[in-house]
Amino acid sequence: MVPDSQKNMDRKKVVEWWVDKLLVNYPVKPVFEVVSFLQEAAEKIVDGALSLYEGKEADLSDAVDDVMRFLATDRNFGPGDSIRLFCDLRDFMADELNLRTEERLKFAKTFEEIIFTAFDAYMVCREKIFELRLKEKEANLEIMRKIMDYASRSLSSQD
Amino acid sequence: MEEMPEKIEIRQKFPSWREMLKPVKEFEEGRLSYISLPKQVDSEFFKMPFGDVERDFDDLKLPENWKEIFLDALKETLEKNRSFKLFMDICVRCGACADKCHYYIGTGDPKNMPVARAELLRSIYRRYFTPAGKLFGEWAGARELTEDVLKELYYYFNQCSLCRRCSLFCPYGIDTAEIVWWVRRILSRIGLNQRFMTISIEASSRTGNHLGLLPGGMYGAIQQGLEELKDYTGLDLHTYINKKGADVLFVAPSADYFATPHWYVMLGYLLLFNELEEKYGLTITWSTYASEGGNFGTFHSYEAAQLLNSKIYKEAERLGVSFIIGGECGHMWRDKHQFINTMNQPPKHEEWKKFWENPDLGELAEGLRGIRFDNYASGEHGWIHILEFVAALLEHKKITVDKSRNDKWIATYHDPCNVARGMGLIEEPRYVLRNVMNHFYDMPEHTIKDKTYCCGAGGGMLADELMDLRMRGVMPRMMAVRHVYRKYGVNILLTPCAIDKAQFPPALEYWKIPIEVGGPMEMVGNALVMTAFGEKPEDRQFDLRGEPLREEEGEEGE
Repeated sequence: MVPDSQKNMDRKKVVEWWVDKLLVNYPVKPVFEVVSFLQEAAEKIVDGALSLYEGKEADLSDAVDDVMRFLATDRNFGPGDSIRLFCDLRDFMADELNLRTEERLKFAKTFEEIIFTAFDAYMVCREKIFELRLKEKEANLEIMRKIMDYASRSLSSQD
Repeated sequence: MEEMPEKIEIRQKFPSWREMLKPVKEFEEGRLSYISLPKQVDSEFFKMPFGDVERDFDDLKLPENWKEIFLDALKETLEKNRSFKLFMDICVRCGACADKCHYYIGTGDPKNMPVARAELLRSIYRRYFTPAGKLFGEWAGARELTEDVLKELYYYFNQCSLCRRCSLFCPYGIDTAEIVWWVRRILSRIGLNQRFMTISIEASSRTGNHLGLLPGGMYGAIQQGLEELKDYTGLDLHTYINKKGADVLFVAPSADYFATPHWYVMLGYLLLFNELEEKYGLTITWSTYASEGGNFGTFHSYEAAQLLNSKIYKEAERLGVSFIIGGECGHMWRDKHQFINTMNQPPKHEEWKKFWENPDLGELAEGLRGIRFDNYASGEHGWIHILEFVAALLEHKKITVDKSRNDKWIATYHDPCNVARGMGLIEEPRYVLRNVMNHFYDMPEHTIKDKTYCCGAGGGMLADELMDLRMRGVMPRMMAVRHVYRKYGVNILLTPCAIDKAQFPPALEYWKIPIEVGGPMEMVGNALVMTAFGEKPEDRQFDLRGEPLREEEGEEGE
């Protein structure tokens, strides 16, 4: 059973607060495509965190991964800073929900899963960047291989 | 109605202008371009001043009098280019450009705002070339030229793709891309060149194309293309290379010879050229000398740009062609539309002059009479864009197409910056796509046409060491693609630019949008019915990727 205090949590306020935190390094807010991408992911994470607290199932891996795609390429946030943003969200939600100490501990415990998922996602994103760099190198090698292959065939066809 | 806040607070998140004058000391990996090696800038074919020294960003090994050389080069640029001088003086820092730059949108770095990027140089200009700056120093927004400032210039002026989206929104029309171009040239005077672009410039100086392909490699690639087309269409096709007396010289970006998905576009070119020759007698030749439409020199310096594009008019004259068709390349069109005729003399041979006195294709092939190049967006300097050309062929009903051959594709179109903003070719590619396929959807209006978002990898930014920057720079474009992917089920992103075709596959992968990348000429090639060869619409079984055209029917049949 969700307490009344939770029902009254201002979801919009929480989401906006967190998106602002994600964009803290921007002196001028970026275009809405970027903001709405983060907003959509933030909404899913906030809703999912509440569901987990209520004991329901929630798969947040995709939404957390979306946020991490952004943070993992933001050179102003290190890995620790990126994870801290999730801890900040946890604390802000707990405040907004007016949770007492015991409830707060329970909420933090359920939120841990999201933080672990976030850490995994951050690592995957960084690996993806290097994987893409490697793929480009491999594609260049493939082009070189084709160049040699086609050139030798064109020479042999002229013999 | 929302409640009014009790107190309105204005928070300044943007650093003050005096703060902005302090050079950054930390240069992030993923955004810092590698510096050229001697083999790229001190070769027999491409020599830059002080290019014989191997440099590291921590130790620039600058020439002793670097400051004097820098300021002399800046002075010369100011004196020779009135637009540049104007851009140094006129900015009022209104900030209209700030959130229009993809690199700012992507990185959130204040110095990536076009206004701030240009200010990095303006502050030096004020210090050394204006009375106020000389007298009042930083109070007048001026700063000394130091090695730290120099590093900052290299760092930020190599975080711009020269896409010119900012200039579209500038009330004064300040072209930050032009400022970037000149700064890169000035930096090259003291030995600071960006590695990725000089690899291609050196290769193109040496062999005629960015890939460094020798004639045999190019010949072999085109031959391979014809063999693949035989498999897909059953037709015996041919093409010309270095043919003297051909009507047209065709110049493509060299990536089309080998890279994927560029390759499918090349197959499209070959089909079209065969149909036009067989049906109308129009002969089109490739050249192993002018084997590159792109020009990385246009990202680097005037001299490099001039060196690379000089070969094409020379080759047009040597082969005696009447005009040139250019393929699917982005910056090629900035170069060919805006630079080439001021850097090199157009061909002077008889066939060229005669054709351009009355540029009606009927003068070369009677069946094509009525297609005139007088008012073409791309035709100004003897060059015709392949898509503008195809649009005309479709408009005049000179080729037959079967749209249903592209029915498995639901496409959207990305306007390359230099084609849309640089040349104004906006409706023609869309006209072509609507005529060769049934499912085409544009991305939101503010992200396309002259306002198009950048791919994040042009202007020399396709370097792998800049992958972080590229993935953030492309983010706005990717979000717009994501929108049409969700709304219409788009499954292919089409773009007539070789750099886009290289940048979008990793970008789509990173931003988790599972769609393909291709070029409009691939769709034209699929839809083109080779009537001159007796082909009927239903005859074609495979698309240019070698996949069955009618997958569902085939599966049901089984």
